[in-house]
Amino acid sequence: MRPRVNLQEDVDLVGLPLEDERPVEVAPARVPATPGEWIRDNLFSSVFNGVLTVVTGALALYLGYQVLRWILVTAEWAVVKANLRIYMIGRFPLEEAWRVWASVFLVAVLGGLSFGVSGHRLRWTLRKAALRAALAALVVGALVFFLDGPRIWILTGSVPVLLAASLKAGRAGYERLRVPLWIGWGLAFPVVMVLLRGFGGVPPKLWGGFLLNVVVAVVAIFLSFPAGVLLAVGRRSSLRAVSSFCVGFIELIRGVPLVTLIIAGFNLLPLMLPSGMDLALIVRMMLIFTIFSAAYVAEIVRGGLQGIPFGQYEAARALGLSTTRILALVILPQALRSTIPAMISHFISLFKDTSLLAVLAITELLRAARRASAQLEFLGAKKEAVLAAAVLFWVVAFSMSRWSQRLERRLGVGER
Amino acid sequence: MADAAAVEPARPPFWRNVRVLRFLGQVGFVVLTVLVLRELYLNLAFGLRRQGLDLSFDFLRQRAGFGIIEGISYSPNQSYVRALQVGLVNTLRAAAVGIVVATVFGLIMGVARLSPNWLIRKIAQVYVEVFRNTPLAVQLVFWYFAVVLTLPVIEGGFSLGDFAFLSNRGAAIPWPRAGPSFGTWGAFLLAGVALGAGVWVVRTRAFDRTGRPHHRVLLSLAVLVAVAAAGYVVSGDPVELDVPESTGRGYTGGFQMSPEYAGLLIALVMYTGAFIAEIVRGSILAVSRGQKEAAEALGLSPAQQLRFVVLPQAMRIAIPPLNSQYLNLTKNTSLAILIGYPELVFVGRTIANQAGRATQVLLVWMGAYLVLSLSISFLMNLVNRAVTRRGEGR
Amino acid sequence: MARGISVKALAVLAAITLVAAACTRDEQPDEGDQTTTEQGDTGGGGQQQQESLLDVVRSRGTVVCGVNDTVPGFGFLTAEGSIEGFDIDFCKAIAAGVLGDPAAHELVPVTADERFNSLRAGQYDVLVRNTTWTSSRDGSEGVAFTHVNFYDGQAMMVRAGEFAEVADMDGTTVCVTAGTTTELNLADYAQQLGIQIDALVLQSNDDILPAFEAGRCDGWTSDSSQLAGLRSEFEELLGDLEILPDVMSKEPLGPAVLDGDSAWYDAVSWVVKGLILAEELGVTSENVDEEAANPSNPQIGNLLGAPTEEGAPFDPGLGLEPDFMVAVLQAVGNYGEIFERHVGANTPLGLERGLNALWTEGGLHYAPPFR
Repeated sequence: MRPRVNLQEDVDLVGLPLEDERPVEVAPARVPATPGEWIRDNLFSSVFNGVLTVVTGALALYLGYQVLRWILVTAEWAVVKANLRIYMIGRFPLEEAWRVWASVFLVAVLGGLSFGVSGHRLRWTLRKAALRAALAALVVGALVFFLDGPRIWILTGSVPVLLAASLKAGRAGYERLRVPLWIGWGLAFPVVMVLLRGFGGVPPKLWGGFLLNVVVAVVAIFLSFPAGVLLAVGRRSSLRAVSSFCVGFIELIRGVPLVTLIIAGFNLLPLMLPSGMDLALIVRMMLIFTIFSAAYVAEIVRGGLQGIPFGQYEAARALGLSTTRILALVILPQALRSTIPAMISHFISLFKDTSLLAVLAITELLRAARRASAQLEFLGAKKEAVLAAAVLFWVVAFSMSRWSQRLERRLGVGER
Repeated sequence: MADAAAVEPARPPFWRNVRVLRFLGQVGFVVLTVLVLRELYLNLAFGLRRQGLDLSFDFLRQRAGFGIIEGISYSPNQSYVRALQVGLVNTLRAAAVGIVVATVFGLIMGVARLSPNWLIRKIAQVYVEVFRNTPLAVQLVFWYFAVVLTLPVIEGGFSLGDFAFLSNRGAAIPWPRAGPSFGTWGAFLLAGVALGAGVWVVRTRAFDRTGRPHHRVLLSLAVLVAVAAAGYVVSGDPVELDVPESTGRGYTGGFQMSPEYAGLLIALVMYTGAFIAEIVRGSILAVSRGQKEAAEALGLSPAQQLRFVVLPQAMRIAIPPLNSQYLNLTKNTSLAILIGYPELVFVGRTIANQAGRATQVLLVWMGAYLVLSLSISFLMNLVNRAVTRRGEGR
Repeated sequence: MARGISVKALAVLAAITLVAAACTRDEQPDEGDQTTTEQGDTGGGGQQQQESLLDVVRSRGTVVCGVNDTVPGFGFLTAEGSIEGFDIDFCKAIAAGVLGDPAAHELVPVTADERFNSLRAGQYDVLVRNTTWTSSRDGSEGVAFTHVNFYDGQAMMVRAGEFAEVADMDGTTVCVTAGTTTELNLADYAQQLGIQIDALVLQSNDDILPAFEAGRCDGWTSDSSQLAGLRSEFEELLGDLEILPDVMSKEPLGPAVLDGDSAWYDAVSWVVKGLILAEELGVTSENVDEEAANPSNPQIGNLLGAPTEEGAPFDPGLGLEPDFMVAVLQAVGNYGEIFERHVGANTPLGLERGLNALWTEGGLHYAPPFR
């Protein structure tokens, strides 16, 4: 350990640029008034910055131009257009596709209502309006390009209409709708499952494409949350047997790559299950993703539990609450609230991880893309095929992460 | 039950005695767990026996019979054990290099996220948002099949004056190789290090005594370089340059990188780099503003503020999440089975399939990754301790 | 503090475990006497190992086949979302033979390196996926091959003019599918020739295709039938391709089922044999109805289970309907028809019958008689 530090010299040695003059006084925060000022402040604040701006700007423009040109001119998007069905639903029979549409509509209505009830209003500034218009034009353009036939136009078109209508309804209903909505969301999952599977529906074997990614992720999220909370509580239990079991389980699952668990779920799980339990491959994969996710949820919840000050326990106990009640009414609500950002980012990564099902011959989105680009007429279009899949994943993951940021701000989680 | 125990001072009957209950509860839990695990195990063993398979590891001594495209020396005549070793080394190769490069890249991007330059900030932000929100598997397939493989074929590949090559058969650059007189130079190097260390100690003492600038880093480095250079001349070219050559089907000599390795590395670095950038940004922002203002008030330059006040504190915040990113990266090397890079899971899967022993292979995977994870966590703990102690020492 | 937390958690965990344990107890037969449990105890489907798959399939009403969906001609996923090919027709034939309805089948695409594991795991009843019959698969993989439906051999495909034979390929990279006998044969063959070949192992033809196209590998090794299909399909894109004369291995392909279930094994096996015999006897999808009503000779009568003078049709006692072959032939035609439809001279693959001709025409297909 060094006794004292000679700042000047050490800085010289690490090679960081030293400014000529040292402003001891702090520059007051200045709000740029004119575009000129903004540009000077943000792009050309020093010679170094100026050079940096020019060089990277030129590079970015060039790359942007090339990418745009490729997307609009060079790329052969026909591979995606022809295989759109495989991308979205895999081998799900077309005559049963209404089941998927109905599920999408249900989620759209619930989503619109929730958004309306939340009372959040889009703020419109000139810049935002322009951005949104451009985005809308892009989406509409892509849809018109990729979708063929009036039937699919009407079906797709009714999604935003439903969304808007239920948003309005949500705003009108406001507080009254809050409880029914929670119930609605709670029921949405089983209802969608019944819609897809029940009443002569489609067996999971035929589910595929993006539908499969979403379904596997949603099932795993719903099931792994309670399991993870239970594991976290179990880990902190004072019962040795329980806590060591939970620790062992969590660390074992977190220690190995998901790919190995998927492979194990593929060929070992069926052997380990009792002989009467014959689970379909997809169901087993849901189980594997649930187990995998539960271990991570448990760690996140543990982090939240550790953040609760001991005084909370003591105060709750002083009020005469039983231990179960302390946990359910005082500790967990606080702990879970503080874990929301971490939890959502875990769920996003779980959703992305469903693409690993491509390792088995399960035609989820990634494998669908690879299959599509192996068709004779589209052999050269690997880039297009894979990028289309990437964009679909990205849109969902990105919106989820944005939503999480908003939620975080609204709950003020970061501020404690 | 529990609150009853808390108020009653008298000895409760045994069915309300918390200690007895706790004991019984644990016993019950253990019994149930053991029963379930036993059930699973028996089902598995029975299922395997029905297929004429067993749970012994003896098969690992059998001849592997399949080829492995890259890694430490191996032939199909060697055993499954050797094949697994090749896989493990390939995993380590990808993970270690990936961690270092991703950290550097993530650090640059994280600092760029906070740049005063709007353009730089935005570019870094777009990078992070794009790469963080797309599945690694998709990125991997994209990088390998749509980028690396579309490099020119080997006949028309890029070459830098017959010294370095790049094509879709891989990349090769010259690499130093020990010459015949390397031993002599080695002695010089050791001497240089010893002398440098001596200078360091002397300068530190002088500084402690007099308080004048010690220039110890500069001086000791200068001594080391001088001695090494002298030794290099004296011993006569101890290091030779191994220049790669193209055989028309591949490259020999030099330092080579296969397309599969390159694809995996690019994907891992771009993906993990985005997460590391966010960690870096978050950690720097988490250092309280007061710290920076205080440093400014002391008259430190912006660079000094970063070097002596912000970074040491930010590092302490960043280490736990960095550790988990490193673990993720290591585990994510297993996605290489999508592109044919023969790491541990890839080789294991081949063995499981050729020998029909999935259970044993799964246990090998678990053991190997457990050891890897523990080693990384151990190393990061060391770093963490070093950082924390240095910070407190100040 | 956490003392009480545990009580609740324990209770819940215990409840879950109890339920799980209870479920397993109910359905698990005693370990001691599994082999002696009486047959016919089909309650709850709990005795998979005793009840023949034949009965399971019947009660389920569908045959589940493990297939490949990446080999043109043999099994390939079309943009319409259906899988078509030579192997798929055998799956339909089995469905028709066992259940009387060719549509009563489900196709489960499976990768080469997981096919036996999932057969063992009960993911499908029969594996019809260009799978080579080898001793260790019969042995340690625990599967049983029914009857060869395609005689194949491993070959090497290269860009035309680059190599004359495999022995010239020292120092090259060759693409191969993961988890196949091909992978092992390649290593053995290179060793035998004393040359060094690097094998780039990818998951499926989907992945090898771009790698080969990009020039990442010099050769592509697989069964020659597959290569012929791939060559025909992709020649336009890949330029002139050549299949080298080396025959690196024998590859008899055929449907496989799980070991130790002779009723199911017989059923699948005789559907395949029946298809071959039908070609030999000249029964086709066109004339099968006529022949069934009025067989032109006793052998055809036996094959189709046509009523005899005494009234009772010939029943070999395979546990199938006596006239099971009628449904099969109506659905997919005889062996020759299946061959010509998917891989024969008039298809893009343009394969010669070669080894796959009947024994009467110089080939290897020889079916035991229906008697």
